[in-house]
Amino acid sequence: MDFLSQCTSGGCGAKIGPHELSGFLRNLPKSTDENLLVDFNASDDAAVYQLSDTLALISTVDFFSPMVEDPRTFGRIAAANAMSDVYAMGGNVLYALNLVCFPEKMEKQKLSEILIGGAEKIQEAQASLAGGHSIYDHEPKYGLAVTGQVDPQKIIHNNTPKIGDVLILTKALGVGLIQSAARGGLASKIAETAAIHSMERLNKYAAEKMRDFPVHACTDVTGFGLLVHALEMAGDTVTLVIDTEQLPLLPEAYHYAEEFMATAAGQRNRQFAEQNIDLSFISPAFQEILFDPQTSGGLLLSVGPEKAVECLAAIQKDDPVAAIIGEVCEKEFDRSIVIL
Amino acid sequence: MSKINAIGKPCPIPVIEAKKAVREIKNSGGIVEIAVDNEVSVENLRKMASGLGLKATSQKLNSDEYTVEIVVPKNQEQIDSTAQNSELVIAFGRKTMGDGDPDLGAMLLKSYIYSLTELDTPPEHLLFFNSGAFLTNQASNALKDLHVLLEKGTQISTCGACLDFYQIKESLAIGEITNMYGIAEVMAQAKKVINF
Repeated sequence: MDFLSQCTSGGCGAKIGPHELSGFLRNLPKSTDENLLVDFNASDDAAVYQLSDTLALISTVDFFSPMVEDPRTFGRIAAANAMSDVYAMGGNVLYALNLVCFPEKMEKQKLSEILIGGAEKIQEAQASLAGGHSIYDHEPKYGLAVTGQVDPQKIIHNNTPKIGDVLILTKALGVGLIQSAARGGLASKIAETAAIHSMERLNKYAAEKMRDFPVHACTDVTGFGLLVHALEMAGDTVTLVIDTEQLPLLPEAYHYAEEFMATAAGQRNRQFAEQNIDLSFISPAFQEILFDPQTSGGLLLSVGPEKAVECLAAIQKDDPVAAIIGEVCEKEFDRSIVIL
Repeated sequence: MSKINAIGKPCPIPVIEAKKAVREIKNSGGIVEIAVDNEVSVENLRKMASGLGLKATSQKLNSDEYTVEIVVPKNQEQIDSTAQNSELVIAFGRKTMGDGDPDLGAMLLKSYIYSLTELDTPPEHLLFFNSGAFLTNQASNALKDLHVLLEKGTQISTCGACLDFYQIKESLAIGEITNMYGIAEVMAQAKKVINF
């Protein structure tokens, strides 16, 4: 029995496409509770519920099927990915609940390994594992329902960048492409190791640094790829300018993009965003990278220009691949994003 | 003249702003002038300009003020990843010329490739795919002529998937490995494509 996901891609690549979702979310009732500061209408990364003037809860859930062979590594990646939304909103993680689907016929040792991997990351986040729920399924799946906290005055939304801000990306791109190459047995050891290392990395450290700086917007870059997450960030009010030459890339990622290692999820992201962005100057390989779904990707933050260099330097202490990739400009015509 | 004030802006923002301005005036042509406050930015801007095939001049106004001027010719074609129009691209999708006896076909193709070396203007790019991939192999009898073309500036690319399929990747003897993107792009930008 295979541990790896049978669907085209495990991890965030399994995410249902952005335009597929927006349609039927509209049919769901809207909340009237004023304490619910952020709900699914906001297309933000997590729900936020205000309890008092100084305290709000952040609630988020994420799970997927394996994109790596090793169960423990899978556990670590899934947990890091699930907690990421809390960090993106400027909060810290309090506790998490395990979500488990596991095949009846698969050896239970693998399940144990997944849970140990997940617990390692929860511990690293200085949070508690508080329980969970497990069911039998044809394919293993794992993730967390995460509860975090944030000061309601300090919530960082994902679509409130200010004109003049500088954009910083904290992790290198290309995990989807590398995973895809790895499935075909074509990925180099170096690329695979770098991708795993990147996916296991908590966004906690970058998030802790950004608290000291005027960060106006932040999102974690996951299944929708850099470009679609950047579109969300731009909203209707500004134009984000992103320079492909500044993007931090995982080793070999560009090469795999040239070799058609793109995933179905990457294609879904492209269909969603293509009409709104002029990509005619961009090499096909860079286009793939921009649409590549990132399992447990980094944070994309929009920070005041006067503090951008300091902010980057602080983040680079623990996350050396972080880079300035662009800036926030006044809205130009109907363009939300300009890619150079 | 489009003027950009990038004083006080962190690297690589001045480069990003200049690049954007260059792109915006590439049809009409003109000059982009960027003001920056440090030597490193000046160097990065010059690098960016030469990467795009553009001329740049810089001036030091004082210890924390420099200007860089980038000249953008009208209808600047060569920007970012857009390749220039190739005059002639020849696509070899087989190792023979015409149908009929394979030995004859191989001989004809060999002499065709030799004839290419005699052209006044060598072809811009030769593409090899499917069984054409055998022509760039160590065992190919067209290698000598392909080397002459390479020296004349012709680009030679062979489809990587085809090399894998025929299990001859190890013995590729000349040129680069490309993929379907590359092949499609080269063909699309060619003024003339000859197919075999």
